[in-house]
Amino acid sequence: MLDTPTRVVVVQFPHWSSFAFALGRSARSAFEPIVRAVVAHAPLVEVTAPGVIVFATRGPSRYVGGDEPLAALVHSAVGDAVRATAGDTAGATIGSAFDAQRSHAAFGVGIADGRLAAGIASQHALRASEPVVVPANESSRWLATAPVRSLVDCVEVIGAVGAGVPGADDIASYRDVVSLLERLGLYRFGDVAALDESHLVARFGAFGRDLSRLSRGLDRHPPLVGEPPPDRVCLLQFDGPVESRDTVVNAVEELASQLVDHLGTQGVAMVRLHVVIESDHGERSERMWYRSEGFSARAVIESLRWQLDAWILHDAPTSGVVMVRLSPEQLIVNAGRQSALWGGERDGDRHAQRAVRRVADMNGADSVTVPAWRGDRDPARMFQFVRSDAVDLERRTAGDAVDLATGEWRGALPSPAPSLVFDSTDDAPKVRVLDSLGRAVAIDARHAMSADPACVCIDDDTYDVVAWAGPWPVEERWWDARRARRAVRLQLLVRQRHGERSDASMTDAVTSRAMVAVLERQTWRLAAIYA
Amino acid sequence: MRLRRLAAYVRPSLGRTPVRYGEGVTTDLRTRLGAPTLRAPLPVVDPLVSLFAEGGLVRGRTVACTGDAALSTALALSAAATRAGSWLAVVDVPNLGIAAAIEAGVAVERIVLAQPPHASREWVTTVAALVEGFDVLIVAPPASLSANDARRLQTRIMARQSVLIVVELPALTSSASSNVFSSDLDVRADTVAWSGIEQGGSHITQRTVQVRVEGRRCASPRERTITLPCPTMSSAQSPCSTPPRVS
Repeated sequence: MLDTPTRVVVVQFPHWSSFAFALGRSARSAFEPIVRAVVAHAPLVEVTAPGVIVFATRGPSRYVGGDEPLAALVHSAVGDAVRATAGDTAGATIGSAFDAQRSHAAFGVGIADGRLAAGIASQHALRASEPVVVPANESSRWLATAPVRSLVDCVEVIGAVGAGVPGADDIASYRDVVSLLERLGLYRFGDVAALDESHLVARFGAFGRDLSRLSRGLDRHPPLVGEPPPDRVCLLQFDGPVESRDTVVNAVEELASQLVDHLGTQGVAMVRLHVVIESDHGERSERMWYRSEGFSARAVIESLRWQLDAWILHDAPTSGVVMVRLSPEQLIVNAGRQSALWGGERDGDRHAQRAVRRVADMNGADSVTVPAWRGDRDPARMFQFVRSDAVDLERRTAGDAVDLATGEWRGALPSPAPSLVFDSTDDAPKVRVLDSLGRAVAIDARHAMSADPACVCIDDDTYDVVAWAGPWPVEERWWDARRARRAVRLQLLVRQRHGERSDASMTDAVTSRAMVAVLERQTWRLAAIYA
Repeated sequence: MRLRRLAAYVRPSLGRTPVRYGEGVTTDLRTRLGAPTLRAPLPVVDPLVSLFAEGGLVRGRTVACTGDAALSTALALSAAATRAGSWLAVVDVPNLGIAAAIEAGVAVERIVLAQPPHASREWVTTVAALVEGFDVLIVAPPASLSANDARRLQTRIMARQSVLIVVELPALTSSASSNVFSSDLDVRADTVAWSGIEQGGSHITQRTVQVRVEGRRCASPRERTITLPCPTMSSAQSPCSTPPRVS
């Protein structure tokens, strides 16, 4: 088999999750219209993460008559889909809302040989806001001048640093690798490619080989030499149409682990998996999935779940599922994944996942959540809570939970952070902030307080204000009449008024409590407690 | 024949060391009860180490956190363990400020939040299922929890060698939660001073908390004053460190 990279198209939205958040939708479900827009031109696409689509040019490019027309076609189709998505939610104020979100909805379409080159091409396309096509067989030369720094932006396209590096944390490890390369004086991929592969392997382990291959413009995984193992396709046919999503997933779970085990005994792992789901009425959903480190049974299930959700939500199949087919498309030599002595995957991680899955089965998936960074200046909205089955706990890293690269939000609460936070939709206790004469404290248009706060009533208890900070104005989306938000925050240090409680709690009455109250639409509410 | 009888007579005493009953019986009992292999206590962050005679949270124990800084202290207690690879389940604290957890030094990728139903039996079943996979659990028990169920849960905690941290949430947010757990350690954390905040100016920059550890598994009460967030707690960058603009 020839060791030539596959020519691929990469469509990349670097800020997709922020965009989806601005629309008030989950990153995956908001991405579905975009995927469908691309599927109209290329049937078999790979969605590696919300915001990234990869597919091979070979068929589609010949159909539309070349790479440039294909790139232009995909670019315009995706652009239309983005506008439609933004328009759906923004409604009448689409113009201004879209302008504000444009920076988040920016995307790039790149075509090149190999995933890394195409990923970097899409980064260029993002800046130029038009598709970038690297001519065939030019990619390695083109890549040689690209800075190694661009590795960090292509994590989703080329996959994580991988199982070879213990304790690998996707983005952080790439940053480490890049910073090390730069300190070694290797600024461009050309410099790295000039090095002997063995030196890179000696320094970076298994990832060194990948790095060397990537820098030379090859695909990350060398093609599998030798006979592919027989009967690789797994077909699951149900006796009758199955209506329940969970039944399908449970049935495939067994099959997936058999498939992975079977491949494991042959010493290979699949990095690309083709999943086809068919309903009784002949409706089909097919999609390609990619995992740079090879699929585990859990990863197969996660992909299937995603595909099923998207299919049910957007195509609304008219009948139950009768068939599921899993066919591994690209196999690599299974380097093995072993429990690391320091860092990396451990037994504890597996036990925790199992417990989470059990609890999700018992009480519904909504009852178990994990935090994910969303970014906001409102303490209650800084993190969102994602259903545990929507994330792959196995591959979870600090980067998924907190995106420190997003930077700090101006106007967020200063450190220390409150340990209890309340959204306006939460049933937080009612609060009244009163001045010394017992009138509610008001804040005028210039953010001046009508009087100093003297006491706070929470439900039926009265607290004396010891100290306060603020008022801190928050003005958000003032350009959008429908979603504009105007609020004022006040940090308060309160002490329970003496003599109102029985003697037993007198000791408690001495301690003071800090909280944040927010005045929004002429009503005070409790936003946070430092518990 | 005589020789054999003699041998039978002699053999039992051959190679037998005199039995000292106290010793033999205890070792025997311990093996028969299947005493769990002792695992090292879960680590805690530096400023809190001196509060625990064992140098960390002994597995299988129930710790009750009370006082106005209960939740912050609970997060601080579990921080080092999560950094060392343990998973943390936070049960029934739907309004947990994740930023505070990060500031306390908790590895955020290993936090899972669970909202089980509030009926006593179901609540316990859910938490017991979580115990199987999590080394540290921070729970705010619902008022409906019965002492019986609490005891069942504690037995599970001991068998699975996890640590249960029962927090008392401020009364103003939740209906009075009863602590039906019989805790091994009581950690009382009261804020003694807030620094930074004035009459209208600046903002809270630090809180000084007095932490007192006592209880039936603590020979003598230990007390220490710490500042939250501890300077040594988080090497990770805090997600909210820019002070807001004050107009």
